[in-house]
Amino acid sequence: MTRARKAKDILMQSITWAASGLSAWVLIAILVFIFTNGWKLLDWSVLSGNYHARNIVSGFVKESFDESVFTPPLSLSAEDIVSVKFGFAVRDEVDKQKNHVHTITWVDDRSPLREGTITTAGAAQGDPAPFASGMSVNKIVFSDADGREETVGRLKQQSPREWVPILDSRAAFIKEFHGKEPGGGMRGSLLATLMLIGLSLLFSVPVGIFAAVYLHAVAKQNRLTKFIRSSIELLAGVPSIIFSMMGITLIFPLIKIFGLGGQSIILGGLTMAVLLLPVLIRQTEEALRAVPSSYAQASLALGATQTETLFRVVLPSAKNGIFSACLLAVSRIVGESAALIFTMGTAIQDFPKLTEGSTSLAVQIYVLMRGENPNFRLASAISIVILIMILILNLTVKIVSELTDRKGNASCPPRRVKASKAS
Amino acid sequence: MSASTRQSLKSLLTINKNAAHSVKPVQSLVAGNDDIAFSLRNVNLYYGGFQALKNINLDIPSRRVTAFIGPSGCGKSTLLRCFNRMNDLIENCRVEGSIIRNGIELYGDSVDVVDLRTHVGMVFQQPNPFPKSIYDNVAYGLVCQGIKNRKVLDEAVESSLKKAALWDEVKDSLRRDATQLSGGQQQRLCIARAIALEPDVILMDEPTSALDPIATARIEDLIAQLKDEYTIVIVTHSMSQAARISDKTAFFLLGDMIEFGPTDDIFQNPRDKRTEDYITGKFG
Amino acid sequence: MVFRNLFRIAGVLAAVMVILIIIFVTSRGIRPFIGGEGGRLDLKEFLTGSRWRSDQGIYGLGFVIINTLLVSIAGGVLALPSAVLSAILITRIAKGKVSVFLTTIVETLAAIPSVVYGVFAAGKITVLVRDLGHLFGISTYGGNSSLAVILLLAIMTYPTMTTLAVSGMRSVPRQLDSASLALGATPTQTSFKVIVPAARSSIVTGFTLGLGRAFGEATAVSMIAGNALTGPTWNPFDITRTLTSTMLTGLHETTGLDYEVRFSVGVILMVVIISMNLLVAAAKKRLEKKGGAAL
Repeated sequence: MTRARKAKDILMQSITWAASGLSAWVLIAILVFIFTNGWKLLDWSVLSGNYHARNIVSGFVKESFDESVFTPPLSLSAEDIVSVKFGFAVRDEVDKQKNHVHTITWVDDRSPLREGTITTAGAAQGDPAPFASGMSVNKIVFSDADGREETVGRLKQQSPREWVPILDSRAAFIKEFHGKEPGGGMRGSLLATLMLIGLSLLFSVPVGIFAAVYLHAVAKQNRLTKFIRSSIELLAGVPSIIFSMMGITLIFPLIKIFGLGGQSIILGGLTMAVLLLPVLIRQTEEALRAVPSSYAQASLALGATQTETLFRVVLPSAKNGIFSACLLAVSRIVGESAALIFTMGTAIQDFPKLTEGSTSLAVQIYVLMRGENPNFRLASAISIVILIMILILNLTVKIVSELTDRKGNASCPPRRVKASKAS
Repeated sequence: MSASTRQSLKSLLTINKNAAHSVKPVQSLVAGNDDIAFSLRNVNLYYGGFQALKNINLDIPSRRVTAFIGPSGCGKSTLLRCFNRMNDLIENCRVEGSIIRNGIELYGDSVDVVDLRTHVGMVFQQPNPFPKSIYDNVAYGLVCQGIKNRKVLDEAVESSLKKAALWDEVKDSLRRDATQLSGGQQQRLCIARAIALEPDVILMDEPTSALDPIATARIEDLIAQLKDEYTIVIVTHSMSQAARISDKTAFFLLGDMIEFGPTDDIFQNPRDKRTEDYITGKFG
Repeated sequence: MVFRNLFRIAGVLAAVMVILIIIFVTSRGIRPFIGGEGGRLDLKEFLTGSRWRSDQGIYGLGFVIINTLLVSIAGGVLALPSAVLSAILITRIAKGKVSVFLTTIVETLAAIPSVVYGVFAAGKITVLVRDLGHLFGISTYGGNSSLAVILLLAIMTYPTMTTLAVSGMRSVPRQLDSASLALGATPTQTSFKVIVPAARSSIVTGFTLGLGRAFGEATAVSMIAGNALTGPTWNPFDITRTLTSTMLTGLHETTGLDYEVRFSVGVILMVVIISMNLLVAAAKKRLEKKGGAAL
């Protein structure tokens, strides 16, 4: 072999490495970007918190508090101004909207402020008012020992350094606490996503499995079957934004008959159900195909009808494969955005309802990224949640398939969703 | 680049190669080896723990047809694949002993396998033309060597196809897809493809087993024509084929070479009982 | 018997969905042209126009169609070589664990949802394009541009194309491999000269699927397209507008022409994707007749 030829060979090989290296680099860049932007933000309060900031006014029934002195934890810094009398600490901060806020950084478990109830009119009136780290203090109304009322706090243009000592020295008991719960959480979308998963699977899994059974066991090799197959293939190639349009033009009038109007999780779930059909049918059929025909023949030979055979022998043998199909469907739901934007809307709800519009996690990201000032940090934090969910789902699929293989059981080695031949 | 330039280039390469390899020629075996293409001494071959060839000693004559016969799994194809080191592709395959070609140890460290395969061509059991045009199939080996000159390639394609007795059938459709040819034509194309590289040796691994009798006959005729120019080693399942076309025949059984000699002797006068049993159809 | 019919109904239902989608979206999409609520659009103007000013009631989609074709095809063409090269590495050069690792990278890229790609694109790709623009002295709209969309679509179509190319190369018969090596070709030459051409049918299919994804990709693209009002956009550093990004603008409208026209854009999107599929299918047929990959 000449040297030139050898060199060319090495060059060509290097190019293939370079191409794959590029893709690896892109993947790492994506993960690094998402994690560096979102990881710090991601904590329990973001996962479980409201998206919309909520003003809270809490009142206190008790006329006086037990006198006690609270000791703050050592982890507090000099910035944290401690009220030893009421057992909390606040800090002067600038929030994302560039406003000064007095954020609570520590609350003692026995702090009397925890005993307040919400006084603002509304559904939550009378509920125990939250008083926790992360909330901010707008103002506090208190009475001194002589029963004179006084107000301190940010709304009185006082810094924590000024108003906390006043509170500690003069307040006998607190009458009202005006605080603000921070927004920027994802609980509502998380709940909406879970509801969406439940609804979508409820609608699509039976149809998907039945259709797969039809194609696998019932359908004859004729033109109708061929047509059905190619239609399902075609369905797999329809972009999700078109499914969104279908949701509005086809499903919306249908569910209107049942009195459901407007964008809702139900509409989104039904739309997703249609979108998921190709995935479910293909994976389920794959699972059914992996069941040895001898199983079915044995059952039939024992006098079972075809339907009995199907439900008692074939489907149970394929259950791992069908389970994997559902998991892949779930990971598709978690990542889907375009199909839901028109059907579920783009209004982020903290308390999603099935019959009302709300956002899934993916759509919340879309909403956060829209507009002049995209909220990268929260969008990245939600992205991390989605990525972790998808990772767990895909790993489970892999583990299930490996277990199935090891058991030598007839169930399907579930394949990953593979792009199908569209043409 | 003209044909003569190409020739000189090739000879230049050969000289270079010889210069590199002939530092320590194996004298005893080189002596008077003009008529020996491959000289095998104590060749053992293992697939992992399984020994597929046991202590083979054999001299393959130049410009003759040597046939390897024997029942399936006897190691005849495995041995054939040693001559162009196609066994290298099998992960846990290990070869011991010595195979000498042109005074050079075939399994030596300095042997360039890619280069070796241009000198030792191979034709497979299933006709395996590339899904390319007839022309591109024949020119493939040369193009891989970096020859781009259209004229050189044209000449090589024509002469190779002529030698493979395919020219008259395809000369008007060289751009046709090779996979559309008939099985027999495909196999002759594969022979032409090997010839285009001007090898010394052509290895044939049951080249007619996938063909009908007429196509088989044409290939056999072709082999008879080619043997004046090339050393041909052919593995065959058909004893009549071995008898018809080969000069020498080796009979293998379970990795052992039982008997090797002139074809007429093997078939009319086998020395070993097992050879006799095989060629008379008692097993196989 | 009851179940048999249920199975059949489920199968037929799944199959007719695609027809229902076409019928319902199309019937809604043609409403603005036959005069519904909010006014009437001129079809010719709609298909060929080069201005999209919903605030002025001007809906010219022509340039948007061209932009969509431009960015999608450019993205696909950019992704294709990387996909084929990666597939060669995965199937032919890398061994054992390395090959599995490389496959995992491709699978992971395929599993990332498009909104996450969108966040990355808005935060990183646009910055890259902006800096690149600075380098050439071109000011960009914060990096929102045709080029950013092309890069994003290249990344998003790469896994699809690679997966298909890998499965195509895996199914090339081993005999071709041996034939090439026996003719003195190096393993690398064999990969490039024999395996890739033999797998071309799968590679083309992957390219088609990738393009389909690029045409239909909505949320991620809309985050960085910039939604140009006029076009077509020939300058890669200029903002663009695609069919999908057009469908996602002005979401707050729920009635009137502004809302209805979205369905018309959806119809055009379907037409674009279907014609692309037909075109590629025809090209593939010719390719096969010519090269004859009768594998």
